[in-house]
Amino acid sequence: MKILRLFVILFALSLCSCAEVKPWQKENLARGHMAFDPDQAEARYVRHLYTSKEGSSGGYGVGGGGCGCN
Amino acid sequence: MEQQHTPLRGTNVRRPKLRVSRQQKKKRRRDRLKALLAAALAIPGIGLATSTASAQSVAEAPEIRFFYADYQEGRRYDDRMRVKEPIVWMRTPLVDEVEFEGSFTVDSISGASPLFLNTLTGASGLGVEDVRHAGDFKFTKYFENFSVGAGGVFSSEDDYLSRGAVLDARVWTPDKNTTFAFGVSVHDDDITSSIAPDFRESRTTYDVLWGVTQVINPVSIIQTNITFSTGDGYFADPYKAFDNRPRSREQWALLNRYNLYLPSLDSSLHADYRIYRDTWSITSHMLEVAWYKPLGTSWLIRPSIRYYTQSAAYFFEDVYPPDDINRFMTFEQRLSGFGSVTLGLKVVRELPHGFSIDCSANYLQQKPEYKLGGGESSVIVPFDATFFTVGMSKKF
Amino acid sequence: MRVIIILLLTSLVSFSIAVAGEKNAAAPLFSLVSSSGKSVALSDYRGKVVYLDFWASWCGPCKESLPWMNEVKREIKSDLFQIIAVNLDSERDSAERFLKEHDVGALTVAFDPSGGTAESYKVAAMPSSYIIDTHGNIVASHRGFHESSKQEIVKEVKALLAEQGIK
Repeated sequence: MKILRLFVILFALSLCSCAEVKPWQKENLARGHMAFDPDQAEARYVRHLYTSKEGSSGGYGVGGGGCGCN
Repeated sequence: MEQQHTPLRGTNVRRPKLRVSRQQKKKRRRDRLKALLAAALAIPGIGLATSTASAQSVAEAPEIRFFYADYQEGRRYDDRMRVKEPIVWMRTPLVDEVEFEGSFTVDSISGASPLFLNTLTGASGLGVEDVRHAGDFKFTKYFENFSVGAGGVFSSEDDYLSRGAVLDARVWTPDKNTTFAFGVSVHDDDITSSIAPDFRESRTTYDVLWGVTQVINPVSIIQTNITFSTGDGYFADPYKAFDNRPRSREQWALLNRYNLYLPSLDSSLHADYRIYRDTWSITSHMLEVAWYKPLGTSWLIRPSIRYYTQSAAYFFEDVYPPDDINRFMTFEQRLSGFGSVTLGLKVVRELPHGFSIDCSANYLQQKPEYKLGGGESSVIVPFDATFFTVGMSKKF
Repeated sequence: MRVIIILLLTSLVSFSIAVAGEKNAAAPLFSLVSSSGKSVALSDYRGKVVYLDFWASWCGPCKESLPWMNEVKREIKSDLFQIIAVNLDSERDSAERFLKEHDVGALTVAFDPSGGTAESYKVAAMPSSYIIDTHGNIVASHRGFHESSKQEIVKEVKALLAEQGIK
């Protein structure tokens, strides 16, 4: 499956040639707005909104379903 | 456009009956699990991954958030659809490195969706007034190098009930720069009809997620997730005429998320790209970009833009009335070919003692012409919507 | 479903754990500077029980660990017990701001902005702490700061002091 192959490649890339970042160098990564979903309520809301208006879903996590959208 | 009301709704359209024996159902379920397992094992060396947040330790302190969204579709109809959605969310550490996270919402949906081509956020297509209750919860236990979580999710309306269970796990390297995530969930949905009391259908869906989060350098981090979903059962809409959909659906999604901090601008840029494909022939792309810019010590603004494009399901019917009804077909706009753009602006204000308040304004427009590669349709009605949100958080 | 869960668990077990700063190894020596410009060198602490903590202003658990360490030092008054809190902020201002906002009077704060000392201790998490005995050896280390760490640390320190005849 093409998507699967793409994922494996991305995964392999993600492991190699990344600068080894030390724990004490993570100040900027620790900023609240550097998290992937700083607002968990908003994330749930918009994911549900788009799942009900569009024909696709997924990618963010499992268990977020049950939207009942037909 | 003339409002076409109910004469067609609830009409008994003769559909080819697919009688599936219980044995066949069991076999199909087993086959699906086998497919899932094969897919899970196909990725070398990973056992584990999970959902979005890449936290590697239990939350430090409890946090609670109240959120309210007001969505209104505009212009096209006399009775515009309006959804009011309050959400309460919380996360708190419990004893022994265990964390609890949960949310609850009660949607109020009002306003007709007059065209039988359109539908609402819930399963119900009637939409004069509808209420949806939904929630989720999860317990996560953190260990030195991994975490495991288990939880549930539910969504309930007058004519729809969904319950699901989730299991996930994360493992990270000792330097915490690489995190693998793995998750599985199962959902059971019950569909009924408020206009046909004898109608009762169901659907079961299994989902799997694999993900990797990688710290690239002190200012950037990337996350890649792949999800696979397989569903079996009723996928159609009991309120729609000429609506006959396959009884199975497999979906794949590959999501890439990238966060970059720019020290000279003291801002962070978030970019998400997702590609999706399913067995209904829908292919979609989504690109979402947001800019987080702190202002002073206590304000933050976040402009954002989202572009989405999808191709139609192979059985999407573009000609009304359909000539041949003994096949899969739907006029469901959600399964047609279109593109959409959303613009948003959010403002956050930090207050003393761990409080913060925020609000946002968003504008969304969906039309066939926005589809990548162009598109047009005789039956789709483009729509636009605005939604406002307000929220308040408290970190203890 | 059951098979998937079993797979999950077995994969979990197969990951190994690295230890930062080997137990019972000699604690790497360092010579850093305090707020007032005075030298803070580990060699000067021979014969004392040292609780060495690596922290930063942006580290969440550190907001709790530093005041707690301060409490512990005020409680264990013996001069044979010292706490050295090594700051790893790249910007001194952020660290000074944090120190002003929290009571850390009983601690000796030193600055390691380049992270060289943290590197020698193989610090793998923020915060990280090490208990060094009177001979200059690491006898215990803690990654992160948890509720459970508090009791353990106090126990370990008291045990070492008891060896020296201190209650």
